[in-house]
Amino acid sequence: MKGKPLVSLENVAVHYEDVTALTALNLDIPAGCSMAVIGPNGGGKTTLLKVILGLIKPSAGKVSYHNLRRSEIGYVPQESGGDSSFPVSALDVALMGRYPLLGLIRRPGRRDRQIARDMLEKVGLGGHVRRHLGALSGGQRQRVAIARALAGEPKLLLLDEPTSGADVEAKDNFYSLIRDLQKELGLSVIIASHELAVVPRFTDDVACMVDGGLHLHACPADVWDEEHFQRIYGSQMEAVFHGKVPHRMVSPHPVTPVPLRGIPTISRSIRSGRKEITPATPTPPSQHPSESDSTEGKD
Amino acid sequence: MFESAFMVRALIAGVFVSILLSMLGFFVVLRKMSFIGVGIAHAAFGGVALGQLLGVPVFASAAVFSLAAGLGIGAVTRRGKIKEDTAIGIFFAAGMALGVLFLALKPGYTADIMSYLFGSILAVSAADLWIIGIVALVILTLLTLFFKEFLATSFDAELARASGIPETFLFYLLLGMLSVGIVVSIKIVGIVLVSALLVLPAATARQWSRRYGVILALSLILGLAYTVGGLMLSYWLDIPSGAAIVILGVLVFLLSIVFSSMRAGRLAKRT
Repeated sequence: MKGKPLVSLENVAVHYEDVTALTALNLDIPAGCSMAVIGPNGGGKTTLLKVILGLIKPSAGKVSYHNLRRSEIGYVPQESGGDSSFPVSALDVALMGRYPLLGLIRRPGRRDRQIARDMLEKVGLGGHVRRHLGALSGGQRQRVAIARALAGEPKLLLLDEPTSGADVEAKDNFYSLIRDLQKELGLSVIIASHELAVVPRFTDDVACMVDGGLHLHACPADVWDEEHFQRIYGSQMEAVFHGKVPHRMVSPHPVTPVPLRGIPTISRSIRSGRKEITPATPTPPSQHPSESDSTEGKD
Repeated sequence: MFESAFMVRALIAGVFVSILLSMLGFFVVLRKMSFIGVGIAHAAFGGVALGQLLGVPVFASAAVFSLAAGLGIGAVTRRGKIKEDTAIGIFFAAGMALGVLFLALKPGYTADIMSYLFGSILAVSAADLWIIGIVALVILTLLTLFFKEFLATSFDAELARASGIPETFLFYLLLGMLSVGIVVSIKIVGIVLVSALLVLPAATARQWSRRYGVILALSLILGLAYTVGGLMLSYWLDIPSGAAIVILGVLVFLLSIVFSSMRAGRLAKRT
């Protein structure tokens, strides 16, 4: 359920020397919301999160926090598994989430350890509390990072490309976990991602960032039309769907045609308007969609 | 050995220095910035030579040079345009060049410069002992008070900053403590070898454990053992104390690597 805004951005702009990362951005982040921030690389997704966190000071405009302290913002950065050679256990890392609440000098006590343990339990790592970080898989380390963020008892949780490199099943499990935690803990969640499948299934709102500006802020159903996609990703991009769920963006360019007769395709083109899974036929070179690197990398 | 007042002073100073460098070295190794100790120590050479030229306390002039180098390396690196190794190389060379220049300007013989370069058990005066003791006490207190913050910033600086920990302040505080800690250790270990004593205990301890608490405890024990053992070897064999301490540390480090590889091999066979 959405409430009053926790964070408001008014005409926020960020410039790095000769590069503009954000331009005159206006955005309210309501309490209890789940928002996906999507867009092409360089669109400003990560910069937006870092501005909210206070890691980047805006060159212009204002960021206002309403009944929200900085320590109440949890953050899971890109590649947040941490240095796997660092001599810490899963519990040690989760416990670090308590440090800002303790303030300088004070040591974590029994209650802090219990909360860190509880958060590891919540993310499904109750049996790995004492394991060294390097002994955990990449996905498990990602969950440790979430447990660390949750241990700080945040009101707002920011996740930056949290599943890059994970397989489809791991992504689904991850976002299901985030959705459950959001409901259970009453969190506001913002996920910056190029994983389009995240948007309709796990979030209430979508903010589309293009060239540092907010192109669109709407509910997922309002985002899926050709005009928006062309403006967000460029006119040559097409969406690949898994069933009814948009999965990723691709750009058509000529490749050698391969006979695929009889093998069903799972993609459909927004431009062509085909909605059903259909048997594939050899695709003419000029129409054959192939994956674009531009939507798979980091922001 | 304990009848000699200079040896007792050297041992007491050695205990302070070993605890100080082992604890600083723990964070230096965790942050993978081991080479910075070399840059700071060699930059201190300029201060040592200037102190001798002007006749001012060497600790003070060396501390100014070390602090300038430590904080300068940090600032230059944080601006992001110059890599840490490049910055260290520049400050290292500048400190040494100034040191050579100041020594050339000083008339007469400068015999005790060797004790600053390689360490000497004869070099520690009662006044030095007070300075070493007070500096060690202040730095160890700060490291203990901010231990969890230093640990979090060493693990992931950006994440620590995002959670409101004053990461930039702690980064420069660590560099400042490292600079002063190295300066007070120079008389025992020497400019050339102090960075080795900074890194060896923690690097050796990491071969034995993957838990930071155990690594820290082992670092402190190993640092003490290297320093006290090296000072005794220096006394008995009449060799520079810095060389004796570091050779002992390197031997233990090499043995640790061998045993740690053998242990890893046995574990791999079991699984």
